[in-house]
Amino acid sequence: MTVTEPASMSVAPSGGPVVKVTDAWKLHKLGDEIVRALVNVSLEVQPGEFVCLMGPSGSGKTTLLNIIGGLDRPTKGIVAIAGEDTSKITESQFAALRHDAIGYIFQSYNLIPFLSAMENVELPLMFEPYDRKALRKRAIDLLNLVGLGHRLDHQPAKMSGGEQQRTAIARSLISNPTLILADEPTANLDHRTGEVVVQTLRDLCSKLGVTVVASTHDPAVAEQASRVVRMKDGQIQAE
Amino acid sequence: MLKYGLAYGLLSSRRRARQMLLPAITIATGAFLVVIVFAMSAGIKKQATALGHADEIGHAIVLIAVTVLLVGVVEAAVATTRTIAHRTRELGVLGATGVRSRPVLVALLVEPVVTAFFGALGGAVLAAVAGAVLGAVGAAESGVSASGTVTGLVIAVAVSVVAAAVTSVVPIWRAVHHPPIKSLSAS
Amino acid sequence: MTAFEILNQTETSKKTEAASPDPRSALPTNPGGTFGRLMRFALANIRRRPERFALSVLGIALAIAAVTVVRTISTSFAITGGDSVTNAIGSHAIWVVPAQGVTYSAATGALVSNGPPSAITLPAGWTGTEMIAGAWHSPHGQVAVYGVAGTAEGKAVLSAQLAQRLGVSDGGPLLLGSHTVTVAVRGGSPALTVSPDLAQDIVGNVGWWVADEPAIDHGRNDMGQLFGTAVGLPSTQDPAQAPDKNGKGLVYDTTTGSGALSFAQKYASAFSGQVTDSTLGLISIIGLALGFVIAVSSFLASVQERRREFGIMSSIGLADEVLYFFLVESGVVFVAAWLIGVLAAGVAVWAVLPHLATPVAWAQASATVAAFLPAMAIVGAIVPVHRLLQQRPVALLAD
Repeated sequence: MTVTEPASMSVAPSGGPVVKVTDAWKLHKLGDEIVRALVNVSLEVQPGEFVCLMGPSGSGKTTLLNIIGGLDRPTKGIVAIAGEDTSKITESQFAALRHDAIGYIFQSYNLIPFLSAMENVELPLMFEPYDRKALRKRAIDLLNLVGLGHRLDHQPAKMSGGEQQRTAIARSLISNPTLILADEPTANLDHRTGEVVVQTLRDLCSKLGVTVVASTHDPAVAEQASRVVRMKDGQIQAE
Repeated sequence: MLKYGLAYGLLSSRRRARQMLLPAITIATGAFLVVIVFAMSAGIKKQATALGHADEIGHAIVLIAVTVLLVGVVEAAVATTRTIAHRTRELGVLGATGVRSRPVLVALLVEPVVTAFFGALGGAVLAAVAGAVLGAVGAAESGVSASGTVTGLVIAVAVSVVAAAVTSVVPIWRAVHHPPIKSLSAS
Repeated sequence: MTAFEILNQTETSKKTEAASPDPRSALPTNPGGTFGRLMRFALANIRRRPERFALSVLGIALAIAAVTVVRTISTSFAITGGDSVTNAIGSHAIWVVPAQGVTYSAATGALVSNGPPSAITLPAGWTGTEMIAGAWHSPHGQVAVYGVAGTAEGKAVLSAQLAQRLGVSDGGPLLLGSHTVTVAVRGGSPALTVSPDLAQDIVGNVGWWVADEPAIDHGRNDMGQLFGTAVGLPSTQDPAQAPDKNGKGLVYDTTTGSGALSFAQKYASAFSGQVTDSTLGLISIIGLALGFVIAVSSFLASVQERRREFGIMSSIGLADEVLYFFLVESGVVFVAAWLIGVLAAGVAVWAVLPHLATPVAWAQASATVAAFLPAMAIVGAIVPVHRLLQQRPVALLAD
């Protein structure tokens, strides 16, 4: 099976919402108290949207992102990715879903320190029987796409925060995902670098048709988003 | 798919060589002891027979060899567990990107096995050289046997590698199946 | 008045109104020294991560066990070797062994001769006697039988331990071959002492000569040579030297010659053999080095894991405390490891080598290892902490 070009990225087959969260709750215990991280949250994300979840710390935006991506499960409620209900699938099935359809970007980049930028981008597909040369070429193309053609062989320690985050963005694209989830992507970056990163995310949407959901408290991100969803105390605020 | 896990494991071992140094040294010291015991045991036995207490010395040598091997085994285990704790974040990334658990298991097993192998080999070879020098200089009288050295070397390397592999499997498996969100927020 | 004074005034007036304590007043101190506090802190930390503590202790304990096993064995050899000579020849100055030599028999726990006493005549002025020393196959296993002149006929002198082994009691009878003798329980020798004639009857004509010098020759340091020349036999002060198989015997001069070690001690080292001794010594040194490497590596790992914690302590001004705290923790780990290690070693040696190993040897070995512990614990703690404290708190707090 050959790796297709990034340009011909597929959109959700059914044409319906990429993400559909219905009446989701997330409760967990912290010592003796019960924390209500999500309270009756419903959200729909259409293909090609750049949705921004905005809110202060503790508003539930990261939790919402995590249950969409399957890194966490809701206590109650339904999460559907490209029309498929994910509440009943096993952990390894969700991992496979993440592998094939979802790209993740984290606040602290989470690159493997001993791998070069190229290798970090290849990582998600490194364990699959793909043609090595094609995989390498794809990684290089993606890094060029995010403007890091000159950092191919560099390890994370030799790159700035912004460059690391852009490498993480390239990594999230390697398997042609339908959806990109970004958890506070600019939190560890200065203002200007953050702007570059957000611009890159925006371009993913507009030029490649990828759907992006980002959680943030940075207004610069919200500015670039096609839709802003405000959250507070685990609830989505009315627009 | 497992062969890709192996490839990743070898790559990571090469790149993480510096972190493997201290565990390798610990395992090497254990192997050094084992080889010395085996190399000198033939000479000790011979002298013991002449002095009339061969049985006792035989038991004593076995006891010492077993204790020393045990040290090597435990050290291999401790070194591996510690290393796995340091790679939690890496495991979190692999889990979050949806890489399957079996290749990751193989990938992470490579490092302890490689560390144990080279550490034990290094220590054993050093001991063989030391033994040969002592024998040549005459400081050990009839004490250093070549066959004993070879036996000790083989046993030291085999035991270290097996110990490292066996004691790594469970911790690695558990770490791989740890929820990625928790592994990522660990330091 | 300044704002502060006004504030102060209000505070004091508030104080007289209500009985609430001023949070700025000095805190009462707790009795109990700094060491006690550090110790409690260290123990609390151990309770927090018991697996880490257990692993460090286990690693070091095993190394200590290995060293203790080795040292117990070599000390046992030394004690057994020294004792066996003293049991055999007491404090006589000269010991003449036959050409076939003497052997330590583990089964009997004593030295026995491999050949008949040398055919010599005592030089004038010298006192001495032939001794029979052989092994008797008793119904209770092998027993060393010594024939010493001066032992009453029909009597057998044995230690309480040997009496118990043979199932006889003081004053009771003992069947010795075809003879019945009366038992006298005395002393601690592993051998059974009877008259030379009786001994010869039971174990055959195997034994040696012991002799003492005349009064005028007291204090000579060439005693052996003197005696040897007089009886026509080679002499030596070195118990490691064995008699020539084709000769007629060898004279050992047991009075201290060159070197401070007594003959018994020198025999002790010859007993286990040069090779064994030096090998065991080498192994114990390497074992201690191993224990040290293990300790340092586990402390380094622990320091690395708790960088943030120490960064916090350092940033609030407790930089010195970090070092003290680590010293105390290191001490606790080493003491625990030593206790476990020497106990394990004791059990192992007692199980595998019950005859050769003695509690005294084990105690000596444990004490020798303990002597190294303070240095190892201190250096083991200082090396990792030193590197840690050289970094700025900011660096530690990051990540």
